[in-house]
Amino acid sequence: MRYKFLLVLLVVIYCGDNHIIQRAAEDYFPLSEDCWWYYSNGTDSVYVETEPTDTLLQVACFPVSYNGDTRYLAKSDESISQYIIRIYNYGGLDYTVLEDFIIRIELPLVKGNAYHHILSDSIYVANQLIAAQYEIIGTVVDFATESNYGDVYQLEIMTIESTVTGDTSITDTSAVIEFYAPAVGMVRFSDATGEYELIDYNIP
Amino acid sequence: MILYMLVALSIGIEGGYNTPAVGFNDIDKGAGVSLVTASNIGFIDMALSLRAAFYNGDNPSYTMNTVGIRLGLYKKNWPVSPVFAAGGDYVIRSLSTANENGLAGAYSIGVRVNFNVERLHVYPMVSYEGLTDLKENAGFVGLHLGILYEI
Repeated sequence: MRYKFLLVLLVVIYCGDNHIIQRAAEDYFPLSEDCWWYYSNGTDSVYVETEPTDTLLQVACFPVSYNGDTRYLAKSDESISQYIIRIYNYGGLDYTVLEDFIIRIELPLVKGNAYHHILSDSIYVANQLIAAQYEIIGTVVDFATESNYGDVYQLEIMTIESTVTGDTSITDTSAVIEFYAPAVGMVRFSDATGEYELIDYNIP
Repeated sequence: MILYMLVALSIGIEGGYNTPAVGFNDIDKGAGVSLVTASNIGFIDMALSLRAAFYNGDNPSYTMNTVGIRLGLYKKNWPVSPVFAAGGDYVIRSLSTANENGLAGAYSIGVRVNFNVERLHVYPMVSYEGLTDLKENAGFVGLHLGILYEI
């Protein structure tokens, strides 16, 4: 009787698409030096590569180039954080209004997790208040089993960036949907320019 | 299974400390506790245990808990005995208020040192506590102490 129980359990686990151990045990963000990922939407392509580690604000981070546009990402037990700096130029001089790391993705990935992180700061330049704010609103929407990759998480990340100078306020909002696979990283993303699929990658 | 538990010759409790060994890089440490029934079936001893384990993540908001059943084989009258156990776990992962759950196969391979004093049986044990969804294998090293009383 007990052997039948074990057999039934194994069949249930094998037939199920719910690979909870894979999701719990695998690394969905294999950030290391000399990684690269190549994405394409058919007409356009994005080449993402990591460069040797750097230290910003005493935080070790990876410069990650997105078609030459470098973002600094720091990985910790709790998150993938992104370095943000906003500079206000006045009279030919640059003034740093906002500089810090903001959590872009909370770790580990768990379906249904929603988060909201804000960076906000201000300075006076020539007796005028300059304020900047950077918000990230993220949701781990779902996961689905894909034959190539295993259980793939879908994340929706909205970025709201605003700058206030005197009586002028500028707000810029962007949204991206990203899909992450175990031991691979981002395998698909879609933003305002289209939907990109992972074509090739290298993780040393 | 109920019949087995009713005719069990020994009952007891087992508990201890688990630390990630393969995979589970997001987990810091954990603890497990089991209710154990055991009986001798000829040459070998068999234990049926209901066990729960609680793991803390490196992220303080993250936890992983498991509840399951194991069927184990060992040799009580050997001073040092290998242990093999297999079964299944219901796994719950939680981050803040979000959670996921699912079934996983569970197995243990280890060694226990047996101390028998009249009806009391005490055993420290070191084991590899594996979990698998047949897509991924990962597990913990466990240091456990068990106490069984022969009824």
